[in-house]
Amino acid sequence: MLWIDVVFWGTYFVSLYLTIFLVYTFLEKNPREKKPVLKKHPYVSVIIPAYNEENTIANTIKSAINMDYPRKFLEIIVVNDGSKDKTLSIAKNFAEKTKDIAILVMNHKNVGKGASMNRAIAKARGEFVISLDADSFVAKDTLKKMLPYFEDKSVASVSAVMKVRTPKNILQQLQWLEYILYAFMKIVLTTIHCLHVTPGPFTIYRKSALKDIGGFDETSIVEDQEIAYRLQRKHYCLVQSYEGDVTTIAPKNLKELYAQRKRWFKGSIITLYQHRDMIFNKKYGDFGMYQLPSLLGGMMLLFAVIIMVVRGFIVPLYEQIRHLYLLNFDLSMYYTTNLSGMISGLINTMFSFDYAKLFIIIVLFSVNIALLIKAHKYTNEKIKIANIIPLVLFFIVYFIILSFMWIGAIIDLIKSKQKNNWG
Amino acid sequence: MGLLTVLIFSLGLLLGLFVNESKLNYIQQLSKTQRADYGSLQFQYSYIETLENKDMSDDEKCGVLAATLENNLKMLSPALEKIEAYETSGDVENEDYLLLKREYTIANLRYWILAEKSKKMCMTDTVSVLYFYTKNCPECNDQGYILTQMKKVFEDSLLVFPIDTSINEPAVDVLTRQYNITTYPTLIIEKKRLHEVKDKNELTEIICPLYFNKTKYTLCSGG
Repeated sequence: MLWIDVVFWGTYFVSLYLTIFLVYTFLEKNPREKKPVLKKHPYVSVIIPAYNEENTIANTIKSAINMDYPRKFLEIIVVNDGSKDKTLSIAKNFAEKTKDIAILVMNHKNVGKGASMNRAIAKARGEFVISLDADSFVAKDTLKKMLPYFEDKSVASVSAVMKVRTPKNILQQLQWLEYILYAFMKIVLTTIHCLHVTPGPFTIYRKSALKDIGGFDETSIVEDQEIAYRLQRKHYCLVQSYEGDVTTIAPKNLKELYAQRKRWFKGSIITLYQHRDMIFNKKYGDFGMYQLPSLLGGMMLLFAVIIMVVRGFIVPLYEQIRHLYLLNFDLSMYYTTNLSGMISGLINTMFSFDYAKLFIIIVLFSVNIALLIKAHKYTNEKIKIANIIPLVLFFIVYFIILSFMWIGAIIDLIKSKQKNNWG
Repeated sequence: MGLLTVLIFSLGLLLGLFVNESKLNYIQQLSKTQRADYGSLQFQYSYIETLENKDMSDDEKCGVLAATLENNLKMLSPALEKIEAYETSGDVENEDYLLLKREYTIANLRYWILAEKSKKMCMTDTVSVLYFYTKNCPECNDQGYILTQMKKVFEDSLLVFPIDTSINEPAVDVLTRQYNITTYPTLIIEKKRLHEVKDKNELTEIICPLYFNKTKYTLCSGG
């Protein structure tokens, strides 16, 4: 098992080091100081692709209508991607009722999100197009706060800070924390031009840039990741802002979370594989030399977590059950111990314990806490005491659960690879 | 800039190295005292040998024997702890460890002979178990665990002598040949040879009838 230890702790070491290094550099630069101001109002098209979203789409459209922006420079395009529910009629109803904003409702057979976006982009009149997921709700001032980033002509996309909408249970609370942590990391990555995703919930794209790269990949299951890679390929700037907010409905149970993460994990592996020539490629700057290798390392770390859980928890558990079996389930004997046995056991544990690993774990834990505190600050959230309990679970249980979902994604991939050869 | 991170990591590595170093020092320190203990046991054993010709009552002889047995017990258990400390630290290729293990095994065998002698001469109510095991044998771990738990119940009246046959010790070879040990784990309980892992119930059935006073242990009287 020695080589596994070396690989895993090595990956741990390097990724932790790079994270601290990156955040530290970021905080020294303090990019918050220069805040661009909106000088003129360009024409903007909000695209809402929807597939069976009857429960949420009304509020999504409402949030788009309520955005603080001149009416004559705004249009909303709802794309009904062959929904089997009332999505279409709800959208049509809005189109009829709303007088001051142009609402276009498109309807076609189910073709997927990427294709829906492309069809809407073809009809969009805006200089900028926005992807607004039909289960997400944009804050009033988000658009106004995000548009100024496009003053820089190399900027192709600006993404809002994605937050979990009113978390109701512990799983959603955990995701709430996860999202702001990732938002913070994406803000940091923006400063070194390493963003690898333009989240569907709310991202503004410069339409000319989308045309330049040929729009969304219609076959990708994570089209908002895939498009980021191709924008990076053409050396566009991708921005994660920290001003605008969009709230999205997070999976409320493990089954839903599993379905979502399986798609994400599978999608990120496929996307990384599709663009494998960019990994360690100097031509793509830090994105190729730092970000993609880190993503690869991150995937390995998930494996590390799985193996650590198996070795540290499942194997000992099996051993204890085996011991009980060997004692014919005589509990009194199982618990038999005396004082000297306890003391010598304690001494043995103390001397066999790996303090170097413990130290790394403590460092990792403190770094994560520090990152979370910074994440709260940069996403304009207050640190709540009530979050401390889910916080503890956050670090221990949540990533373990995600790791196991990761296995599911890989098994799925292997199965589907046997069916149709992707890449 | 990145100095802080370098510092944190160096500190972590240094701490790891430091702890490892002190761990080895601890084991080596224990080894030195161990040497002296073995010397002392050697003397006591020779002294017992001369007892048979001496003009002493059986009670007196048994007294000396009991005292020696007790000393053996006292010195052997820390020796085992030390060996375990080596084993958990993974430093089993260490020369010191191998030497320690041989000395421990010989002392154990000597203790076993004394115990047999004591049982014959002084009717001490004990049961001896010779436990032959080897490296890389998962079943041996199971058997070892059961014996450890049994020992906790029977305490000093169950004497377990673990013999690692994978160390190169001629004294061990003598025994494996005598008892014709070919598979592991094998238990020798009062001349009875047992192959394969014996669980708690099986061992209780074998051990209990061997005690003079069978009602002393709930495990034996309870069935």
